Amino acid sequence: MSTAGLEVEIQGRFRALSMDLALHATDAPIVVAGPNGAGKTTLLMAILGAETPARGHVTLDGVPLFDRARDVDVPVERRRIGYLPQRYTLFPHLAVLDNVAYGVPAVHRPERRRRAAETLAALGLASLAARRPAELSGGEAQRVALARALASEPRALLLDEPLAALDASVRREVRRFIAARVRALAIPAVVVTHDRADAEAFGGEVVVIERGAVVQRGPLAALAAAPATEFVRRFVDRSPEG
Amino acid sequence: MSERPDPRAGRSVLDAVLWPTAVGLASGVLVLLVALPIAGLLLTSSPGALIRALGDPMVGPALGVTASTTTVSLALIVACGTPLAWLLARHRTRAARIVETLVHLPVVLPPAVAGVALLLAFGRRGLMGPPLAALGVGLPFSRAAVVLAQAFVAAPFYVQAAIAAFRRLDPDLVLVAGTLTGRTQTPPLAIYTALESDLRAAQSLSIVMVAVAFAVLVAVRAGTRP
Repeated sequence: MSTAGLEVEIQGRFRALSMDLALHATDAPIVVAGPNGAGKTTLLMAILGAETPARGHVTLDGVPLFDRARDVDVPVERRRIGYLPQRYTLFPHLAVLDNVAYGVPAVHRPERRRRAAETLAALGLASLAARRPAELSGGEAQRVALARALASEPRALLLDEPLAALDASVRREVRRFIAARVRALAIPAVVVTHDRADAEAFGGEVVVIERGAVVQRGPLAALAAAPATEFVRRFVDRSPEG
Repeated sequence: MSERPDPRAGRSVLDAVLWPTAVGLASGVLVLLVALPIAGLLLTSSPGALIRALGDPMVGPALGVTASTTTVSLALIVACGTPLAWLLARHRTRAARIVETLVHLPVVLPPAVAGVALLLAFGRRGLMGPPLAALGVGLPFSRAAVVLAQAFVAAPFYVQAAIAAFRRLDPDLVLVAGTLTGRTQTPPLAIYTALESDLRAAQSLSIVMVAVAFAVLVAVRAGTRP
């Protein structure tokens, strides 16, 4: 019974938070929203393999990555899941090209660098290749971080508020850039956000979680038509930013 | 700019004169304390005499032993100190804090105390003496003993710096990286023996050591400047 996409079911306590939720992402991004402390980041960590749920499973394209009942727990580095956090996480001592080459699944360095250069060119970032992360703007750094994640040829992608650390002035442009690339990938993606504009840009299903459980899920329009909770109402009402 | 009175107005003499003077004096005392002995080393004999003294047959082997033992102790410190610093930086348990304090202890031990402590641990009649003797290992006054002593004295500096570096590391960065796949005579000892016989040889040797240390410091600082 192999199912395409990313199937997640998580139950258990994570510090003060009790979680019980399920997700199924296919080739369109899923947007996860919720108040602070709802368990959004914990959910991503469990998918990534950095948190271990008491019960549940994580399955990617039919392959179990985590299954408590069957004692399966594939380590982070072998899950082939890309991760883009909100803070800039480029390696500060490596030039942009070598940052991207770091994740390329090839044995020899020249081959890794060649494919990194290809990825940068495909994303229109070739002009940044020789720069150091300290010489990049926030928006450039986040685009390079996406390039690095994509160059590692992930089978799924997790984005944790990828625009939250950016200035409002560049956020819209970077959002359009990242959302277009992620949609074009057509792999399961989970995007955590506080911002309705992200839900619009990434499209797909919106899953709202509060206190570790799903309170509402569906297209943004359906949530806007009948918000189930006060948080959902405020999330869908937030006027799109300029 | 508001017009309210400066609350520090009454302390202007203190601010303008006394405080800068005190800071300058205190800083000057410490710089002199470090600079004068080094000046003494360099200035109390002629350069010619010092260079001749470098030809002393004792000097070459002493420098060689120092180079080899410090290379080994450095490798040992980096190989064992890096994982230890990683553990101590990541775990904030009581046990980790105790180990961290313990590892820093040699920094505040007087050198003589460190020597006695090492002897009581690894000497023939020390804690580890009998088991080491049973294995046929006699550490005292061997090169291995020099390596041990160097590691004991220098490891805290490395481990402390490595812990600080690991703690500054963003946990997300680590996670993202995970998702992407004979007769022992070292200069300090040689200096000691040389002092008894030949002050010039000791002085030359000391200057070489200071020069090497200075060159390393300059290189490290140049290399880490952003």
